[in-house]
Amino acid sequence: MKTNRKESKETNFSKFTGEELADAFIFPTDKVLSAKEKKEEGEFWKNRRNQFENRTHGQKMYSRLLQLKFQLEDYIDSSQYVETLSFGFFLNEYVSRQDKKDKDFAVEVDVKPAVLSQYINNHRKPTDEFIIRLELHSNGMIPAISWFKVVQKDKEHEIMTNQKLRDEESKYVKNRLGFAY
Amino acid sequence: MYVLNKITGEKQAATITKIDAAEISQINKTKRFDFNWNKEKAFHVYKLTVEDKEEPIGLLSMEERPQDYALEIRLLAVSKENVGQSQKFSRIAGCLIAFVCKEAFKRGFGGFVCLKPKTKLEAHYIQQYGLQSTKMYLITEGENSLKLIQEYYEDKQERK
Repeated sequence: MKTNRKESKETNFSKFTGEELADAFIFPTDKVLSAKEKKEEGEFWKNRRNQFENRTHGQKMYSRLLQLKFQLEDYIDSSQYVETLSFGFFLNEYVSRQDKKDKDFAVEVDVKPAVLSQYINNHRKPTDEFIIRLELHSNGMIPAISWFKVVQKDKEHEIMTNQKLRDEESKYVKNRLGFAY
Repeated sequence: MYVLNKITGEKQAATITKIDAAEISQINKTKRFDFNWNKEKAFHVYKLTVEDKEEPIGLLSMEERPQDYALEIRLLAVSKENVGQSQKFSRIAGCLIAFVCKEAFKRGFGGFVCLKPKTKLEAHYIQQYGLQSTKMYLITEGENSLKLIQEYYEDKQERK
């Protein structure tokens, strides 16, 4: 049977301590399981599925919010711009993943429902105060800086692609540099 | 996320990126890593690189088990020059494990990650990464996975 140990002749694992090996490797598992071990493995995964599927409402919500936090962080760390992943989108997700109605959430962060709706629909830019309230509301799970960076990402895209504004502002610019670029 | 340059004492930014079958073959040919990574092409393989350098210093293979709401680490190795006391960079394996924890949250698995340890290393993984032992697997999920992400993704000096 083929094993995943092609290079084992080159590295003498026995010269390293257990701590050093654990700091450098997770070894491949080439071992063929016995019938008993297969059964145990089956039970392990069955338990895992049961545990996951029987989570409490609170645990499910917590998991959904952490998922959102890490998705948001990944997006702001990436160089890609995705139009649908706007501040409004993430805010809407933040509210709906708590199974809350917009109007109830608006009360919790002390803004008018109409203002919240404008934020969610990207018709209004969030204030610094609102972004700080979001951090406080999540108890720091999603920091203000993450929300700010999403807004910033939307703004960067807007400034790079806004041809209409360029056309409008053109009339105010005189004596432009003549260098080719 | 950073690795620690043990020669200069500097923290150096680390990046983890997915690699395709062609890059796996290419890296495997260099023999800078133990094990036959070509056998991992059917799984998700990632490399860890350090700022301004193309050559990876860590490799990881993981299997997504959506039916079990879990990610399983199949194989992990640091480059040969980083094994043992003479290593140039520390924290490589921890960064790769924390990365899988983050992926497990992003996929909605509650940070559930497992691996089958070599028996004699089990205690070290438990001590170093706070993993929990079950009969067959070592696992991390929830709070411990969050702790690992904070430990390896965030620079504590920059947090406050």
